[in-house]
Amino acid sequence: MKSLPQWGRSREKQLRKHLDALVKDGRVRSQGNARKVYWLPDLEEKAAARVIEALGNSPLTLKKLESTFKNVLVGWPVAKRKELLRRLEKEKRIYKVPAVKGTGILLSAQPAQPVEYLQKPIQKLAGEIRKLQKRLEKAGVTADQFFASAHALWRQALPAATNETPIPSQADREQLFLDGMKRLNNEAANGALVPLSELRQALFAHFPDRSSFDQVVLKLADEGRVVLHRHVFPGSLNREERESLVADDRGNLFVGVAFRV
Amino acid sequence: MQSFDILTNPFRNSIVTNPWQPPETDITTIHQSAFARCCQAIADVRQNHSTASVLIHGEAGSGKTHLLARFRSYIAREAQADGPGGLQEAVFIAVRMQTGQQMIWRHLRLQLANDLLRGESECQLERLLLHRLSAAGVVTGDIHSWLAEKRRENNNEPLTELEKLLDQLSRFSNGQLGFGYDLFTILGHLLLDRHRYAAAAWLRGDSLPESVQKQLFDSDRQDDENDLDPEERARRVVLALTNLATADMPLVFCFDQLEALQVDPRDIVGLFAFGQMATELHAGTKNVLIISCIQSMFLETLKNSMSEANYARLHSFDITTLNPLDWKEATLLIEARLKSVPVIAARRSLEPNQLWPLSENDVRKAFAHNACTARHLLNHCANLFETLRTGEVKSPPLSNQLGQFLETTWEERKQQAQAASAPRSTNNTEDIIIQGLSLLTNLLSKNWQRVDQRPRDIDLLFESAAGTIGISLCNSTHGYSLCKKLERLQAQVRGRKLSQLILLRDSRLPLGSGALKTREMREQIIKQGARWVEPTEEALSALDALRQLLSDAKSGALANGGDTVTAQTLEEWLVANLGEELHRTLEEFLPGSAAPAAKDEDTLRILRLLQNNHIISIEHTAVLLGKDVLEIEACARKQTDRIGVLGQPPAVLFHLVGEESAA
Repeated sequence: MKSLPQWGRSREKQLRKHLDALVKDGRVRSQGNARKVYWLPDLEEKAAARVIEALGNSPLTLKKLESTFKNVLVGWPVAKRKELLRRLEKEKRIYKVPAVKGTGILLSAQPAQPVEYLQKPIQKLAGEIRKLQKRLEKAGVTADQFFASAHALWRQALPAATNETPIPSQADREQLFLDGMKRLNNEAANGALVPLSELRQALFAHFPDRSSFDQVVLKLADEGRVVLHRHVFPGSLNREERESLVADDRGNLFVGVAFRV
Repeated sequence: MQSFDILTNPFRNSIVTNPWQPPETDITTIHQSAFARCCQAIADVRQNHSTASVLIHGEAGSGKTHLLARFRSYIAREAQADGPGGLQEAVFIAVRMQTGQQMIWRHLRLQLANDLLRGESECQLERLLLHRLSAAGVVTGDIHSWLAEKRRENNNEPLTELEKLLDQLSRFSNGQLGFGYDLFTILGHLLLDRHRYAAAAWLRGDSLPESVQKQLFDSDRQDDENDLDPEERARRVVLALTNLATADMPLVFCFDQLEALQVDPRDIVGLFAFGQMATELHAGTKNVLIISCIQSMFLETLKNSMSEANYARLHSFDITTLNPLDWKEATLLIEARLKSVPVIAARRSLEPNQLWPLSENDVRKAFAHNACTARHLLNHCANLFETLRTGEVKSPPLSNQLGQFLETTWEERKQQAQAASAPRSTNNTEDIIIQGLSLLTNLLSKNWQRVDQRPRDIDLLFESAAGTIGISLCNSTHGYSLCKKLERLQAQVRGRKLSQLILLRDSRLPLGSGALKTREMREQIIKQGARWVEPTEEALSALDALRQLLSDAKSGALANGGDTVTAQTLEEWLVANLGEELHRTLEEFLPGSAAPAAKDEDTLRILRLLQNNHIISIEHTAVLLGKDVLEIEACARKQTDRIGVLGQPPAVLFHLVGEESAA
């Protein structure tokens, strides 16, 4: 009320009526009964963007995350903040992942990556195994004998896993790409351009070779599901920059991709 | 149906090249969401009394300028519907960033002044001031009658009402608005239609002789124009004028051709300076909408050229994407163009093919991956229409087409630059020289590097193994200021930090016969080792044409039909085909820039190309020089001491360097 001009303050009842109508309309959000808090839907998206940005650098505990964006959500009830996080988790824009150390749960902008958890224990185990190998070498055991036994025991100790990563179907790859666009730029769903060089890097695990990435991009564009933006001056790029873009067989080089909205 | 050959081609000659040009054919559903965002942004500015910014990007030829023209027309239409000074009024300023980093504020001041003074009966500045005077309650009753009365009085007194307004504005802003006495006086003159030409020149930032200053300010004071850094002076004037905007009459800045701020693709200095300028404009004003336009491929470069905070200020409201057209949008555009020819419109209704007389299959050939820019589509359809008219498929050899196009365009631009060179604006001349010389040096002379850190009064600084050359622009028409500048420059010469100091003055601004002291100082400084250079009008016009053409190419605005001509292609052509006047100009400033002498024109042009490229395909050389491949080979083989030829059949030419040069 304090931020309103004088004429507004004297019309408090009418204002509340208008606000309630706007809430009903969906143009304004609200929470609470005795002490109602109002905000614009736009603010929710801004808050969501800030959350994802904060988590983009590294996973955070809930407490740390809250202290990071408390300025954006001044006055927001705790229940509302939790609701926002739940929604983002449901939309797979943020994820709950176990902490690498300890038993805590962190929030992250990326799903749990096995390599981050396995790295340290496997390095430690590898170090111990190498020490053991040196000791047995002195006793006449060759390195080949030693590591053959180690591998055999390893395969027995862990559940069977296929040696090859299951190849996702074409439809899965396309969906991975489209989801990747939204994760990389939270405005992508609204038509914002996503740089193809960054997307290629972000999706490297799913598209380790250049041509598989390019094929998916061009197919989606041919089907009209995304639109591509060309680079008309490839001469200004060095080789590495050119190779990070997407090329078709007509000599076109594409720098960005967007959804048509 | 009568034959097509008597009909105008509905797909030609209606590309929007600047936002002040009303779009002839405008399909409102194309780029509708981007347009809506601009409208929302200005509504946001009006509602919140704040400054907002939108960054618009799209491929070259996607319709960025067309969108700005649509937005400007929308603002004007809404204003008309609401009546003069009505709620939907706004002031529109279009700025092409064809300038260098050290001239950004002066360039902005020039463009702001030009657009504020635009308008036949009532210019934007007048509308803005009248609105302000009325809204502040300083003038009551009919504002236009008040103005007519004041103009009839025709005295030279300061306008007290304006003084009251500016005093009021200054008090509300704790004196931060920067409305100095000079600006107040000039605004009074312009509003009352007094000394209009001189006042407009002052507003643009031109240097004015003492006699004109006396007329404007009625004072014999002797102020040095350069007491305050010219960029700082320009910044204050821009911010002061911008702060005249209100929520009811906001100001819209449209910045286009940001890519032109780069001298070469790795240069970020100009973009960094733009980011700082935009941030100051954002932070130091209210009721302003800042719209910036760039090509999509340039987004990352722009982002990486400035701080995160400055980049965020460029799109505080939104970043909006202009996508190439899809098939549905393309058909709407084609249909609209076809409807503009009455004969075709009448016949179309009888045809089942909605694109008649064009065939859908033919039109679809313009598409790649379901998308096509508007420019490419219109050119493609224009060619299809020509085929219907003449019965011949239009496809001249690529080499002739590009070479001829660039030659014709270059000549046209030079003529336009020459025609636009009067009346002269010293601010504009400095822009031409600083940006033009930087670009020319980058084009023709890789030996000389521009240095950004410069001493005071040195406008351009170049260094090479041969030394350092400083260029100072001495175009001031204010005798006292010019004298003071020459005095300071004498210290530069005595200090011997520069290998050479060049004093450059526009030959169209000769020193007056009464400027005895200035002439004396000039002779002294020349005796001390400086050089006085006066580029000809032809050289300045050529420099202006060069910078405009390169700026257009960098921003994707230079197109040969539907094909964007890249900056690289244009640079290569210019290297091979620039006239002697610019080579001489550069050699005058930076000795050693010229290619070695050659007996014939073609050899000289090849050598110039190889100076920059070292190795180049024969075919590409032929395209750039507009010659046959065999001619180029024959020419190159005559110069075996300087040009190497490789391949069977010859595929490339390379620059042969002598043993001494190689060492």
